[in-house]
Amino acid sequence: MSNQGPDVTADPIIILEKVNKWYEDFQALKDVSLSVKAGERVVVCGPSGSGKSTMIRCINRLEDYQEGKIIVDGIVLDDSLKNIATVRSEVGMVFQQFNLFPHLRVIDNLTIGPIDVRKMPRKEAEEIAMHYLTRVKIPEQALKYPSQLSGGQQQRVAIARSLCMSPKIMLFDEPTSALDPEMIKEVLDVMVQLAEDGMTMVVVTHEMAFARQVADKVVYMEDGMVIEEAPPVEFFTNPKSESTKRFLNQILTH
Amino acid sequence: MLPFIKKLGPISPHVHWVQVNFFDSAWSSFLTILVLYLLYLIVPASIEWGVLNATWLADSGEACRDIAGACWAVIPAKYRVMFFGIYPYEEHWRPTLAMGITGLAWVMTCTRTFWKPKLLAVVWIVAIPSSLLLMWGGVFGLTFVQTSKWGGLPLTFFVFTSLMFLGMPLAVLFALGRQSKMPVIKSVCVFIIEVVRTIPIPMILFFAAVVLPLFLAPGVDVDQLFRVTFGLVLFFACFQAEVLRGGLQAIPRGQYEAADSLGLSYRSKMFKIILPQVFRTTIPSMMNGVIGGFKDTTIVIVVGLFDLFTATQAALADPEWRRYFTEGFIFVALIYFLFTYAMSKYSQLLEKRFSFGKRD
Amino acid sequence: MIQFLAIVLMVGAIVYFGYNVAENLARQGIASGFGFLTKPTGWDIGEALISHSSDEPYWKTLLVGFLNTLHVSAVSIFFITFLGVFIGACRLSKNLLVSELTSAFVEVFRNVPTILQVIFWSTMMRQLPHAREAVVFLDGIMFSNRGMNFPLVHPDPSVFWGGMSFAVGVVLFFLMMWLSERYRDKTGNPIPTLIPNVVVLILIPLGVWAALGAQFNLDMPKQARFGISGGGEISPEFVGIVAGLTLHYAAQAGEIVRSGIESVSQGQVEAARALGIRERRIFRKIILPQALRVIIPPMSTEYMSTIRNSSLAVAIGYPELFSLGSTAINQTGQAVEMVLIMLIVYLGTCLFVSVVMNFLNKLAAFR
Repeated sequence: MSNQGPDVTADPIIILEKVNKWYEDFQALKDVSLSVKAGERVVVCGPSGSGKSTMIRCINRLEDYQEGKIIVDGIVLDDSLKNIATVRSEVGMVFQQFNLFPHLRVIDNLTIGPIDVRKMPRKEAEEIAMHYLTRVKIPEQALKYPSQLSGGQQQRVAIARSLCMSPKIMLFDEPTSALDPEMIKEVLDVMVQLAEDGMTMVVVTHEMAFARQVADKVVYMEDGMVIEEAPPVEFFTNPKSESTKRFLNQILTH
Repeated sequence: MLPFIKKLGPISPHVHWVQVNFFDSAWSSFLTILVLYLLYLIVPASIEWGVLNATWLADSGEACRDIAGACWAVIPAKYRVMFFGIYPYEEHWRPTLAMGITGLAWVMTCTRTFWKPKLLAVVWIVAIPSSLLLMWGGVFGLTFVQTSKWGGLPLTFFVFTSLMFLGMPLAVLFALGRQSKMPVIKSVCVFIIEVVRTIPIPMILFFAAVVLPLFLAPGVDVDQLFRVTFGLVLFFACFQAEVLRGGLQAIPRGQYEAADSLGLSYRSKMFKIILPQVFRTTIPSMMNGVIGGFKDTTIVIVVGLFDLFTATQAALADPEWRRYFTEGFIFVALIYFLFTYAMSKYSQLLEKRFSFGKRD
Repeated sequence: MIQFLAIVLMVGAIVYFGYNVAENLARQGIASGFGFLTKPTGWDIGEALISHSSDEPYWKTLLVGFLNTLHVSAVSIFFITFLGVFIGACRLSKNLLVSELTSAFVEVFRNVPTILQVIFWSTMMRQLPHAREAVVFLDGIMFSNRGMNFPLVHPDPSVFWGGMSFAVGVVLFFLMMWLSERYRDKTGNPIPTLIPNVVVLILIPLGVWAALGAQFNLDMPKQARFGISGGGEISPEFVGIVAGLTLHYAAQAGEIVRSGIESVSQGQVEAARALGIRERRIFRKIILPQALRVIIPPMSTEYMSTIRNSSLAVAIGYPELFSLGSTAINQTGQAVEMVLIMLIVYLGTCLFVSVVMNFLNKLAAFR
């Protein structure tokens, strides 16, 4: 399982420092700290409601947080709209529910970001879009509407849409949870390929095989806290905390 | 959130709630202040007019002349006309009782504890003839009161109840007819539904009241009240039929196929399998139509029937009280509002109650 | 079998009703046919958009009614649309005070029967003091029992041509938006349209107006010895029907707009944000096109209801198509013919609205 490994000397590209977040009275994140180096692949897992999605959504500021500090690519995520915009255009995100724009064709879904944010001419944006559609193996679907595609194809379009912004970091929020079993593989294949190309990735998923294959680091969260953080081999063979063991038992025996 | 507020540090949940909902941004804060200012202009003045300076009881309109506030005295002075129209004064206990019976029947129909088809059938079989008997009279020593003298709230009740009991079955028939595979039935239903839905209600009522007699054989005379009610029923049925059609189309084909594979007849397939599901999924739009139907009963004013609203208007035409029409309108609007608001709340309740077994 | 029965029943009904109509008409001595349309009416109309007198034929009277129906409907639909969007926006406001108060407004105006509101506003207008003691707002808008009076701008050449160049400016504005979008497709950078827009929408019209003498004379309504002179005037009935229809249907329209925008899932917004698209562009490019497809069909139903319910004006004596038509029936007894005419006119008008709205829906879908 050795992949080329991150550049250990690099500075972290994502830093979370003691992040706390509340929804009304409920504390969703408790002192969450995490650092991700450029080129590193981090898989985040944990039971539902553990705050893993909230955490990853804080990284491109889809969610607000009340205490702590998040720095992405040297930019501090605070209330500054300019900083938020910069970070968002450099961080790609793939959602559980794909969230493709149903009123736009696949190709327009892919070009809207580059044209609108990067101020790219349409022709150039379309070339890039076709390049990434080819990479996710569905260039022939370019002129269709999202509703005409299967779930797996839609998710691959969503990945391509993020890639068109040439992001430095890709966030995946349970990308395969809404898919039928036979479609999970085609999406994971695309993600593995992306990992092999050296993309910095933070992935929330329950696909443990994927974690074993590509992750440099597995993070286990529960009740809004980071319980354990370890390289995959160590994480799966020798988990330190009881709750991690319990979780692994549950998920691996299924 | 405004940065300066954020820097205040930990705060109580109440203060937090106020911040988020009223002062979330500069724009929001501005709106809050603007609205508060408008309320400051309107609310105290309204309270002064409607409560503090108001007259509640007066023998005549003259007594209200010099008062700056509202003259609610118009209501106690005129409520009998508003509620009963030109129904003979000394017989008002009869429509009151009739309304009580119908009202009780409606309350039972809407309460879950009484949802037993046989029980409700008995209730209505007793309620409708007895209320009609009370209204009409002519037997048991009750004086006969012709329908042209019926009026006020009982008339509104009568028309509304007819809408429900005649209009809903007709709507089901139309909707099934429109979905039917028989071309003649289908085209007749489509024609009726589409034409009736483009006619303004006043015109339907006018047609029923004035033109319809031309279509009847000389000597055959159907009472005006019934003709007009029939007009409203037809309109209501056509609208609800369209709602039902939407619901029918939303039922997955699998349901029809499952019913067919069990060898069910058309009747049991429709009435036991399909329609119950249709009614469940269309509750919000159905109830919207029911509320609309209730509001539309007021349009009988154009053919001179004295429903609650027309009777109120007639009562307010009295020169002595004419100046205080605002108070009268507010009162009658409040009554309609209470009924329709209750219906819309009930609709939400039904929706919640029937959302079981439905995945989201 | 059932179909056969249905046909027999229908034919029977048609024969029966047809026979009765013929019989009844014959007994009343009324000749059927549309000949009556060319006969003079002998009665006058209170309010007409085209000149009208009592010795003009029925068809012209009906035309006056139809124009009044269109007038009421168009003005109401205009206000319903704007007020509806405004109410929808207020309902969606994050400010709880704004959204809850709007919700209360919506509940009241949609739950009180339309005709009650129509009659309330027109009674209100009629009960206002005489013109001499009219209620005056902002020095120019007067409410009295004669209706509403308002200032008109005197059509001086400078005002006229200024207005015309503004209209041209609006066309140019849309043209420029379109060109800018095209240019942006080509090069990636939009043409900055702010300055040219200010020029065509404000500077040029102002310039034209100034060059032609910069006249701006308001024709103010003035209280004269008998009533009010000058300015524009609309009748209490018109105010009543428009106010009643507008408030009722705007409340409905507000709910349509709100639910349309809410129907666009939060995920759409998040996906757009994750791409780094700015909030305003998200609304324009992602939310609006999807919401419009949900909003337009029920909105067109509301518009059609507005047109049909403009006939409620019969209750306050405003001479629109239905109220003139029913008077005509009472006068001539030509009930069947008149009902047919009105039916076709209402049907045609609603059909027209439906076609226009379908076209708009298609436009929205192609964005």
